[in-house]
Amino acid sequence: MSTQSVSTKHVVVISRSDDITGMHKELHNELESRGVQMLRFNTDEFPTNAQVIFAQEDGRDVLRFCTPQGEVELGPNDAIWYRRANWGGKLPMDMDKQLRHGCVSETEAMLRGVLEAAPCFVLDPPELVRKNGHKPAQLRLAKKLGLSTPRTLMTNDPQAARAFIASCPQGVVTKMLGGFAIYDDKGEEQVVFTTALSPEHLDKLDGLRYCSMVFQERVQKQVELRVTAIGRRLFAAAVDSQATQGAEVDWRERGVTLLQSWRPYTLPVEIETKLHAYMAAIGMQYSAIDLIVEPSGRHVFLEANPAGECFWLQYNSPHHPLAAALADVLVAAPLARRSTD
Amino acid sequence: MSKKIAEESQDAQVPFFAHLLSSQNDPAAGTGGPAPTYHCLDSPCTKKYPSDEDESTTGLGDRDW
Repeated sequence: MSTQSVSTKHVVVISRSDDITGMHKELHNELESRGVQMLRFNTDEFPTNAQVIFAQEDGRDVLRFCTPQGEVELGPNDAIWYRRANWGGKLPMDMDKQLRHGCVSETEAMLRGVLEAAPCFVLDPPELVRKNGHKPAQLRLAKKLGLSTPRTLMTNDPQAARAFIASCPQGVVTKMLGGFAIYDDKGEEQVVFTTALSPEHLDKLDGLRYCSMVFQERVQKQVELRVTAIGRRLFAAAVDSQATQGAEVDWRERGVTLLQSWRPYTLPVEIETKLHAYMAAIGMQYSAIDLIVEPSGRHVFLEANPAGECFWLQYNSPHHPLAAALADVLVAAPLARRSTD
Repeated sequence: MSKKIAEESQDAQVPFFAHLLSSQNDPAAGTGGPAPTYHCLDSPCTKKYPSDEDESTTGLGDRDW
């Protein structure tokens, strides 16, 4: 087991075992080149295979992460990257169900709690990630800051949904507030992509009584944007989803086809300024922001994912230097961090 | 498509989203060899689009059914 040296700065990456993004390796290399050691802490390995110590002793707070790969006691010059979580995921499934539920609940409380009380910089605190993940608040803030947003209805009221749909001559798309998967009897993953409503859907709307949904006027697309905000930097990429059959409504439905099709995009200064204002308002260093550019040139804000994925935009075109930007923020390189005061 | 899941449930208890469920059927995926994905370089990941959530939401790990 390796242990920390006193003088070396450390970054602890909070994730989960099945998070196999290539970003971990890239970030490790970027941090190492800056003389910083990285330790990965998988939330599903805690509390069974990894330890956390938070203590108040001798007038100071101590936060220590211990894994089979090493251990780190964090100080004011260190940093944490909160990326993914699966609280207590490796607790035995054959435990008594109620006891396991208690363990998972306490595990989440412990890890969320110590990250909130960490004696160092956190990119970004899980409480902020949760708070700023709420789609209604995202749209409200974006509109308040002068960004265009689609006409939107979120409801479990079928009558309200029918009236909204009737008021949108260009059509309506519907989507969920969050992402989840359902598995059919063959184990195949099924999800709800953003879907254009057709007449056959209308007589199913009574099912809203079991689960609300998001309805938005259909926005005409020239290109779709993914803007990765890291510290003070914005990295914008565009994809022409309208040129690929099956990707017109939700580009993710042809995600593999389009994987190499993202291109660098220059945001209008006005939009850039408003996205900076958005990031300043939510007090976060990171977000993955989705927009549509209409043929008219109007930029329409859809959502800002506080923990959105981004690695494909580094590994493929447009090859944005995202790991380097993350490392700069984590080590507090000059002008890298966005002020959140 | 989701029809099977929706049809297997009692009609009166099907949320609207169940009629919209689908698997990703990108013809570029699964054409031999590991497909490039949004997360991984050389791991057997099957994600064909980015997962933007920080917390696991499938619930399969905790299911008691």
